[in-house]
Amino acid sequence: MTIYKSIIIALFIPFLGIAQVAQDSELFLHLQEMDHLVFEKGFNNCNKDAMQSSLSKDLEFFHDKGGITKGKEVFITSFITNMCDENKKPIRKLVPGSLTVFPLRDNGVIYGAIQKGVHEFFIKEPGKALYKTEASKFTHLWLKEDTGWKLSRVLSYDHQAPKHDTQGIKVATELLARYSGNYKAPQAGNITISIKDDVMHLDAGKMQADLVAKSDILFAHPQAPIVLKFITNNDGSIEKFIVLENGTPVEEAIRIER
Amino acid sequence: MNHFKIILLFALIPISGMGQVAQDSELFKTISGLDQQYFDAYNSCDLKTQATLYAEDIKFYHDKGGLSTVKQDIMEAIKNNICNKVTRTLVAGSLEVHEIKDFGAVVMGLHTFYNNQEPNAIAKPSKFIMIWRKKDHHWEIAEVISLH
Repeated sequence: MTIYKSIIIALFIPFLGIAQVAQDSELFLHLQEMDHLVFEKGFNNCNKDAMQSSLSKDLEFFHDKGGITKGKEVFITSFITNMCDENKKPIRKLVPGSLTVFPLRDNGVIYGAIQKGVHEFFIKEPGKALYKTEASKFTHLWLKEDTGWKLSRVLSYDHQAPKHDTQGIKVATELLARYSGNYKAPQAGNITISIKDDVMHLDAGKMQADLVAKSDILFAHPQAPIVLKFITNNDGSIEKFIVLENGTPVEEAIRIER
Repeated sequence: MNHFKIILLFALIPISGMGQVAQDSELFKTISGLDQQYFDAYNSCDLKTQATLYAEDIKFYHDKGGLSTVKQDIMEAIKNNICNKVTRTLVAGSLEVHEIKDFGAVVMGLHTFYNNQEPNAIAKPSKFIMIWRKKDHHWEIAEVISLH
């Protein structure tokens, strides 16, 4: 082939990523369906059959924080044991538009594919709005086995806690002084509110944090989805604060002394 | 443990632990050194070093050449098709390293290949994914996925 011809052909190769298949191609759509089978039916609904039919027998799952899990049966057992509590059910959602697929060929025939994407995890609890716990990237290796496409390697990495709003407002130190003191909550135990470098400081034994003022009565944890809402008595003294987790009250801490 | 407490504990996890490992971390330096060690051997036809760095149960997924799971075959293919012909260059700054707890690391990056048998071919960066396994004190390549 002449150089001239090679250049002409090279010009026709789309520059959209490297050998990534089109999002309306059969391979892309099929693997998108398989992703749905593993996660929507299998993971989110704890359907063992969906996992059985979509995972490869010699599955290897590499999790950056959790390490490696080898074998389909081990994986499914561990999944059903740890991720199927209806009172605290993890839910996985694919970030729309994040999927990309790269085919693997042997002499021109497709034998596998790499599917990459981003997903987010939430917790579903009875009587509560779904709340996000983390996001991560994934790279999945799919292989075409005798009985169809099977998920063979799972690489799950770059786990990120959801970003919380750390933008606060400035409140008067006198106001913080009014809230300072000891509180007692049925579950968290003794909590001390104090002033540290002109901001509210929370000390709950194991956990300490500088809180971000959202208003005169709302103070947010900078990394966790927790907001304290202070309640004032009619005489102006502080009665308690309510702990809001993802906007839902989870407990009350009563002021026990000034 | 109640829920509020669990969340408080989560809040203690340092943010620095998130995402890919920093380029000045020990792991990044180790993996980037190993990548260089492997491909220095690849570029100079040092089959012995390459064989030491490939796991006995290596799996090599190639996007054109199929799946190879026999180490001896892979070494043979390198000897016949790569030695004294192909040079690999890592695209500077493309290396991304993710630690896999109690196992090793997942590495991704871009590289280009120059084949002296095809001097006019346009060298286009291609993606690769490698799974490095740490066994005792020795690091080895357990899996390679090569996308062109």
